[in-house]
Amino acid sequence: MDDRLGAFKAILFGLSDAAAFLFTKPLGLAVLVSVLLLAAGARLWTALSDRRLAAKAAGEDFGRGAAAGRALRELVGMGVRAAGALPAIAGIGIALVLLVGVADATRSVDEYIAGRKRVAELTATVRNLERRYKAIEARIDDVKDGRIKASLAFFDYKSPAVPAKTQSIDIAGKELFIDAIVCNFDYSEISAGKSVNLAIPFKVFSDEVSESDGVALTLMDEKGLPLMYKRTPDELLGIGSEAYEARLAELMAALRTDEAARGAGIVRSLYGDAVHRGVKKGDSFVVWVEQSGGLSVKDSSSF
Amino acid sequence: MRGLFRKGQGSPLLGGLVFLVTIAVAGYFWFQYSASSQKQRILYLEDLSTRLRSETVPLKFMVLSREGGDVKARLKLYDLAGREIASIEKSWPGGELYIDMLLVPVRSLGGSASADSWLAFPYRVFTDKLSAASGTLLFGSYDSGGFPEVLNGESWSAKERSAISAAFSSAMKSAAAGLPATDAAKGAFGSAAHEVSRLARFDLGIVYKLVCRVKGGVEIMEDQ
Repeated sequence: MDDRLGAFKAILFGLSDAAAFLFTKPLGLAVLVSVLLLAAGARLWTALSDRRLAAKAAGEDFGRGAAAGRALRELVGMGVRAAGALPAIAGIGIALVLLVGVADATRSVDEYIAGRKRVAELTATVRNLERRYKAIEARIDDVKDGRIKASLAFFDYKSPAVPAKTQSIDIAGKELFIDAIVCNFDYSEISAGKSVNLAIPFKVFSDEVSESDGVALTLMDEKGLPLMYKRTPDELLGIGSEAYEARLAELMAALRTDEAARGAGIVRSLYGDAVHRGVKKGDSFVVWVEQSGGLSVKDSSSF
Repeated sequence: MRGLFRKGQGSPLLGGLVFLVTIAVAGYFWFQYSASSQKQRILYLEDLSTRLRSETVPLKFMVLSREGGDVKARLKLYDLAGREIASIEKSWPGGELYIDMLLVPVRSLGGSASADSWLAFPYRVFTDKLSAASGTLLFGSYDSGGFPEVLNGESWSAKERSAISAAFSSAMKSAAAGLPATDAAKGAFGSAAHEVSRLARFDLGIVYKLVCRVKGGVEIMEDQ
């Protein structure tokens, strides 16, 4: 059906383009006038030749004057026949205008349908890029005597309501740093919804405690897989837990080797990012993984 | 004219024709309106999609050496037009370089309340062995009479310049007093992007750029 429609459209558009070219473009008009003049010239030539042959057979003289008179009569005859054919010419004109109109309307409808697909694609792209997911929620329990006491809850993007793990921190300082490995996938992967940017928190430190002396976050299992991205079998739809863990292990292996990740052509950037804020008792903020790239921090009360 | 529509009189054919022409004209204008709206929607979405991918690069750096437990690097700061405004070369004790940015929400500077856009200020440099409080502050490197030079190259209104200067001055004062610069504006936070030696180190002699996204994210990418 689509093939037949396509063939019909090809013929329709071809005829429409030809008509539009012949009647609206200077070159088309020149071609049309030339063809008409050639046809008229051929007709005149034939008429004069026939008349000359007839005069010769009859032994009559066919001079310039007679030829001119004959040509004039022939031209007038052509004019009269053309005038007689005016209704038919007008009909053809109307048919051509309708043809061009139908072709243009068909094109417009095709463009509109293509536009709807484009809007759907762009909407999905923007939605995927605008998306962010909650990675960490920090609640500051106390800030006293130069120490920060905080409770951290870690989430993965599939389970934003229930933390995968929680951990309490007690560290010297007045500014809390939460350090994570960040993996931003290529925009084509993100915008198509094939991947989500990842953040794997691994350490907490402060303005006064360096990263190497910071508090390690116990978010990996014995195989080195991040707990945040682990799932129980009943949570895995369409994929077995072993296959899922194997896939996760592959990803972690890729993350461990920058070259492997870049070689796979899917990772845009891979680095560490320690987001931080000055804190006071009662503060609560969320670290978000932005699908446009990187991490952001917002007050819990902002949402 | 009234006779055309009087019951039992007039031509049904003419009535039908008028009805069809009316439907066709209305359909034409509806289609034109829909097509025009669709084009505007596509332009808006394309613009939004581009904006979400847009980036500013206020800082580039190159690790020059790693010797005796120190990491030596050269940092260059750029304004929004890409003009170099400062260059810093220094060694820090440690193995992993942390480049800290202060992200301030435009909303907090009197921008549109719905805007989810952030301004990025290079904040300080520290390492895995050197605490942030002992790191090198960068604010002074691009302070131009109270206005951060890294935000030059954009046509800010006088009100915007004033709000930016106020936030920048507040951040500088806090940092100089040993307090968190993130207190400079409501909602501000810091983002210290760094290498992770067990994943991938910054290669010596390679230029990396710090990419700041419109939604507040900071990325480190190789400058190609």
